Amino acid sequence: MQAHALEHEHGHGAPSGLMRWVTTTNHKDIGTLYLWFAAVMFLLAGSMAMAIRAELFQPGLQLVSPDFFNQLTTLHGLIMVFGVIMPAMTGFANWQVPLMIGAPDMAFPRMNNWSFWILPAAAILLVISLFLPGGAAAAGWTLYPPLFIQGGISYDLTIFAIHILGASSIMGSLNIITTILNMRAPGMTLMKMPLFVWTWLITAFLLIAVMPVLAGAVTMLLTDRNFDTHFFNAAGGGDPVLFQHVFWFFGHPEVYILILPAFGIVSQIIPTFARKPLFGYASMVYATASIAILSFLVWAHHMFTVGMPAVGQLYFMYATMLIAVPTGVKVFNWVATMWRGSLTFETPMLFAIAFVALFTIGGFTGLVLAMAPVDIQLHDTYYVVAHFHYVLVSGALFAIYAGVYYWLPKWTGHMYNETLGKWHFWLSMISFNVLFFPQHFLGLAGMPRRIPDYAVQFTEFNMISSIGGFVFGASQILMLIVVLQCIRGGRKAEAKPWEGAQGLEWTVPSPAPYHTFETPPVVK
Amino acid sequence: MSVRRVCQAVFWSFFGVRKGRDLESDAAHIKPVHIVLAGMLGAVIFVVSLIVLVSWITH
Repeated sequence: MQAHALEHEHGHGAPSGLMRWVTTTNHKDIGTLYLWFAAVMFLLAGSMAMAIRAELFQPGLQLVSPDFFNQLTTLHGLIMVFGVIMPAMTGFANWQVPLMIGAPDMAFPRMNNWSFWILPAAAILLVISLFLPGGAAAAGWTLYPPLFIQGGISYDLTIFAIHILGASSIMGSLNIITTILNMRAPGMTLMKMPLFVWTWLITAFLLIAVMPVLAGAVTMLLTDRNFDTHFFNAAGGGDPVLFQHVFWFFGHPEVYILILPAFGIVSQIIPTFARKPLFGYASMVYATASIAILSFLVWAHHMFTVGMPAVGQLYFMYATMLIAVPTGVKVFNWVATMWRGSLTFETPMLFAIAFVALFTIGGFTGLVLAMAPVDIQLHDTYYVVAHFHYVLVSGALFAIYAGVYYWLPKWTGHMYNETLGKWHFWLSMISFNVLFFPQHFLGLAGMPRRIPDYAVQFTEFNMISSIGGFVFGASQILMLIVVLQCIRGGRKAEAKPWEGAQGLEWTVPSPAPYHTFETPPVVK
Repeated sequence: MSVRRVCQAVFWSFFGVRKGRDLESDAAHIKPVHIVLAGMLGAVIFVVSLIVLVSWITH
């Protein structure tokens, strides 16, 4: 009996060897796996972006064929959304949610393992599609028919990859919701939860609501391609515009799936380095819920040019503008948190402040695009490319960087190299703007997106943009160096390395032991 | 818990602003299921009122 009890004693460290990672059900291990998966995919999709920017450095066709260029833009988009931002955010959720609510692990540890380990299968499907006859899918990440119905075998692989990614997301979301609702420490009421946990709770509901919609849309594409149905084929009585409606009913909430956890990360970091509680916690929770509901009601602003009636255009225009109100409340609250705070500017705070400033620019260009008459001019131009990169790179990606620098001492037990971190920040901050700001001008001047060649009047801004792109790409290697250095050694991190940090995760030692909160803490 | 209190909470959540004191009182008095139902109702009212507005403008 005693031997049996010892066998199940959980005070051990991490098992060793490869099988640790394959069979693990530990939330910290799985969080690490998600984050490394995202990092590898980031290098892959980032390399594609470098090839895109190299081709666009000057007019004419230099490096890649037009068809391969389209494959690069398609895979870059798909991988960055489904293989980088989403897995990275899920990695944060795996590591931090149990630590922040005082739970010993996720609610369904074995499903947690499965939801991670099907991801590499999806990634492999996408990557090998590059080497199949006809190359990878080249119809854009939005998968629009009729183009998507006409492609070769790799298009079927892409559909299958999306099914797998969706299944992974749904399992991950069920796990996160169950963990948050059932496994909070005594005294940790919903309204005492850290904002990161709140944003992930709402994001998980969004994921469960929209991933089946995407699965339905791509399944209809699959049957149109292979089983002679005509959901989206006008010749057979179908309607390609129907696909756009179904896709964007998934696609717009997806934007918030990518950005709400980023809001959560930034809402943890700014109070820490401002040494003040978050201004308007209640407003933040309510604004997040509001954004989630409104995100379902605005989808057709992505398709103003399909020829919808004026009533439809006006409805989607007004609804889209109104969603800016709760988002604006959040930006106001972050600024108010910093107001008269005792600020210091460590790397996580620098990335968080850059997030607030640059995400706001992306938000404002979103408002410009929300105006139907303006959007009809700017639709499918580089203005749109600039807009969503301000939201997703300086928004979601910068928040991921901020979160990695913020929690790295907790994960590794070592402080990262602050000097290198600051170099990474400033190089990223400057090169990001050199890369994407000129793209607003290109779009306003009429340069279409998804083209490998362009008219000569666009040359200068494209050159500037490409130079920014190469510097931005190279700067990200610094991040990899910082993380690897931090894992290998460095100054020992205290349990609470940041003076102003609050929350349960800072009550456990650094690095966080393999098992934490086996006896739940009591929150007062 | 009154219907008025739930509606008030949902109205403020659409705006995205709520006083901390009111939030604590909401958390103590309102069940999450009521908030979800009222939120969906709020979304329907939001959509219908926008459609009425744009129909009025275009006619």
